[in-house]
Amino acid sequence: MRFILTAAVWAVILALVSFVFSIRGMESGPIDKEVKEKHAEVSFEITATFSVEDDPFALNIGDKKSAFELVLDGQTVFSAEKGINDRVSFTTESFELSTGKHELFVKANPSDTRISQAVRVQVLLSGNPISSETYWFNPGQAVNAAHVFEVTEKGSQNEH
Amino acid sequence: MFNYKALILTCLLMTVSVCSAEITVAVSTTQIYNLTYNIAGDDAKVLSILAPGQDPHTYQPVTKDIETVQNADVIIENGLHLEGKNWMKTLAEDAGKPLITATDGIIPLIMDKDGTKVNDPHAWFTPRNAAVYVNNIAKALVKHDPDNRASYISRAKLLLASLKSLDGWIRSEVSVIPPEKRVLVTNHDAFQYFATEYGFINTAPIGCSTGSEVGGGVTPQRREMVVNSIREMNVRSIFFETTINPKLIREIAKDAGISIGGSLYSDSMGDSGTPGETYIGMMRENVIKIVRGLK
Repeated sequence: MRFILTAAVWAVILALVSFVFSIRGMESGPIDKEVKEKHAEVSFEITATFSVEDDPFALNIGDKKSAFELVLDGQTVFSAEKGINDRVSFTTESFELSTGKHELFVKANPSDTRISQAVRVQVLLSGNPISSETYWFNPGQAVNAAHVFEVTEKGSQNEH
Repeated sequence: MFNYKALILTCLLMTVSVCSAEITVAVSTTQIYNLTYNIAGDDAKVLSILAPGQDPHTYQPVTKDIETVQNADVIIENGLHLEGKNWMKTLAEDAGKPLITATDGIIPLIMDKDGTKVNDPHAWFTPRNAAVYVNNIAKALVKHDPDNRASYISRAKLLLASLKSLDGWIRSEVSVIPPEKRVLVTNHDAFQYFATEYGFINTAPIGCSTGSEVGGGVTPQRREMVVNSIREMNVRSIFFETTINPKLIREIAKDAGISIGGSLYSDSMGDSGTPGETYIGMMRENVIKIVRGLK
């Protein structure tokens, strides 16, 4: 009898707690949804001091890796084996990004190892530059640049 | 009575040995040994015919070398006639095995040998050419041991990244030598690829080979030519090579009234435990001595 009474009390307590949480969830639900639905049209303007061409230090076995790659939040969004010219800017297509922090990772293997190399990343929000950074690399060093930026309702900010 | 325990143990040991069977790679030179070793890692056994300090131009194979090549799964030579009288090719042919040439795909520089134009075999002296060696070696290992393909590719990529970094570093280091002082005088013409890549003039009193079999040895005319060119070019230091007797280069330095910049690793890498025991260490030490001697 005592066991049944204890179980009944616990059942009532759990029911009350879940009821309270469900009411609070209903209240906050639409607000969260509204925040998540905030998106921005973001594109990237890239300028490199090197051309992308065949790399004499590449491994020519099996899958050929791109000489130039842009990875946005872990997803490859642009890659090229050639066709990128030194000091000639190009702009990617637009990506719909939610508000919050994002990362654009630039990977490249400049074939000219005689000089220092640089790559400039500009984040464009609806075509307007809102964040910019130039990354420098020593002669022979592979280009690996992580550009972290934040998309806010007002625009974007660099995060270093 | 039949010993079942011994039979089971033998079977187990055989299974283990089959599972861990690694291929054996026989290579001709110490440079190829080090590059191959870096790609093979723990997945293949690499054996070099030449030991550190031995000269590939003049080497004569011994019985042990025949056994090494016969027991190997992959055989790799430098090619471009670095191995005097093509001794590695002969060993592979005698064993009835295919031969991989590490310099396949390299555009050879031409050098003068007793008035005849021949391909310069010292191609490993630029990291760019070493990258071709790495590609050829990695392809050979992947082909003969596809089970370890991913590991060979991983190691080869790391090695290529190191070679690329080395190339940039060399360019940065030699940039401190004024162009007019970039004259590299060594025992024999081993540094033509290095000199061409990094903007040096290369001259040597001995021809392309250190051995008499290709007419090596300095003539009085050639020696006088070298001494005169050292004076004309206002060279600060000259260098001898680790595999060649430094007597001649000392005499030339004395005649020309200049200092000796030290010993360079050339046809062979350094002994185990020395900075020159690895390809990158060998190149690094050579560059440091050259820059110190000429700037």
